[in-house]
Amino acid sequence: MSAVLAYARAGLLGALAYRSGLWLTLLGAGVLVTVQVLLWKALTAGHPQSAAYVLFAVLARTYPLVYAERAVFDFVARRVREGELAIELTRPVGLAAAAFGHGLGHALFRALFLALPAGLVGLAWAWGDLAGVDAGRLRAFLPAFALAFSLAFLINHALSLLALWIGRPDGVLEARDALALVLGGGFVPLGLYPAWLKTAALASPFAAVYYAPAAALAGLEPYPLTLQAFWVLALALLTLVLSRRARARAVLAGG
Amino acid sequence: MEQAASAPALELTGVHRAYRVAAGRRGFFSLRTRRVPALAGVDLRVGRGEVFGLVGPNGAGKSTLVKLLTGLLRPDAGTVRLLGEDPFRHRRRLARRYGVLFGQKSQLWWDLPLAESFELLRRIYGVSRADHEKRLERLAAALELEPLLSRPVRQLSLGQRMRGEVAAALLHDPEVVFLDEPTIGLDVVAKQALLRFLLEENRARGTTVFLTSHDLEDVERLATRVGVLAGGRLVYQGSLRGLTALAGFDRVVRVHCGPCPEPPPPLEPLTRAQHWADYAFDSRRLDPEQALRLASGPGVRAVEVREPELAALIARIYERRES
Repeated sequence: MSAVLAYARAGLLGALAYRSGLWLTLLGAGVLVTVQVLLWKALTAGHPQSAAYVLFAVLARTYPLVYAERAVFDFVARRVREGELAIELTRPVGLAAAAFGHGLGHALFRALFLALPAGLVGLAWAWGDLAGVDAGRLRAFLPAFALAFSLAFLINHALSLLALWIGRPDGVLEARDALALVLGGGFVPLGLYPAWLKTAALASPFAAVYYAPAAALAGLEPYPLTLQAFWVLALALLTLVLSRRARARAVLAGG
Repeated sequence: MEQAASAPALELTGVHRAYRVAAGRRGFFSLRTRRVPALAGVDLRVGRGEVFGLVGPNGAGKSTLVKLLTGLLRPDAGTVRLLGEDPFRHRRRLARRYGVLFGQKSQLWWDLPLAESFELLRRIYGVSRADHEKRLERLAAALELEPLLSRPVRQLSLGQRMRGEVAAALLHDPEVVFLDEPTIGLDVVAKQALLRFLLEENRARGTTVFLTSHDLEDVERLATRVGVLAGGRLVYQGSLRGLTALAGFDRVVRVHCGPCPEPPPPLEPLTRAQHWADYAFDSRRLDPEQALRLASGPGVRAVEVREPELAALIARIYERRES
């Protein structure tokens, strides 16, 4: 645990060392959340759940910033590319634990300096849509968010391990982004999808990461916690298998 | 457990290891590969508190050996033991008992001050604050790190960073330390200081040092025993003196001349430059006085007898092996 927290500290301090670029990222996030809210307001105007959709739009554009997906992905992928993985493997910490700690540090940084301000911008546009949020929804949001955070980490860590087979898995990241956008419900409200696509999206791990927490807070169709937990277990198992196989390739690919 | 406590620091028995490398393309998505042997039947034993130097040219298998010993790689055949345990199977547990420095890689956090990197390593290795402060004080004084502690690692010179890397490898008080090309890129002064420190560390604390280098001066200064790795095989292990027997010479006559003539037997040509040449001979067969007389032919301005350089000895071993 102490080692995981040490990596979290390193991640946070490393992120703080380059905070000057944050302003542009913040600007981009603010613009995106604004556009998303205005688009979804127009798209769902007259729909009985319009307020819930607008709130969902704010949330779905802000809290995933906390997942620090690129930082988690880069922890292994960049080290493989630059031949630095051997150093990590000589430490008394598992690679997944080290990557999780690193991601946690970046998550803290992004929560404070990116997701929170971007969320406030979004809520300024959707203030009136907050009316339905109560303690019950908050109670549903918190476990859904914890599971979503774990799942986001597992997906990105598993993808980063692919670097040991294919060297540069950036293309896989692009595929992940596309699937996350479409199946996670952040592109068009899932309620507006054809039934088959909505069913496929709701059964996917991407909805468990991006849709589930926001839906719980906004009061949209809930994503079952048990299904989220299933995806966490499945990805944990997959990561374990990949890690074992990756270790045999680690030094060849990672220097 | 008792067996592990009395075991040598490290031991390899009949170790083979090959890599699969790309050898062209089979199709758009698939590669043709071939196996390249990196180590072929290596047997080696290093006692606790010993300083062992492993030398060999690039690609001889030195780094592969270190990666096997630190549990990063598993041998294809044979056994590897570090402090009596299998390092691949018990990698994380053993990682607390060894330190490692890869000369071309950094274990410090690039963007953070040196002191912060040390603090992170303290937490990762689970060292108590009191022990850490004591060790850091000693290492910082010996390696002259105090003025550097508050500076981000990216702002340090190579020599300063390497001193930081050495401290990082030793901060958790390891029983064995692996130094893979520790002086690469360092200037003469920085190199001497680093080697002096490592020697003192070994003497004062009994730390086992396993050094790999293609710089023979490092090995000459530090190691009590050396191994020569060539083509994945350990062609020699023993004292530096024993190397001379394997090379077939233990003295060199430096002849100042121009152009230099071919040496008369039993002197053998070793190195030739524009205004001098080195001839090798075995002082157990040829008296040095006699060697001087033999080398003093026409056109020779001066002659002197010298100790051979380790590089020359190893080159001769390689030549003999090749032939």
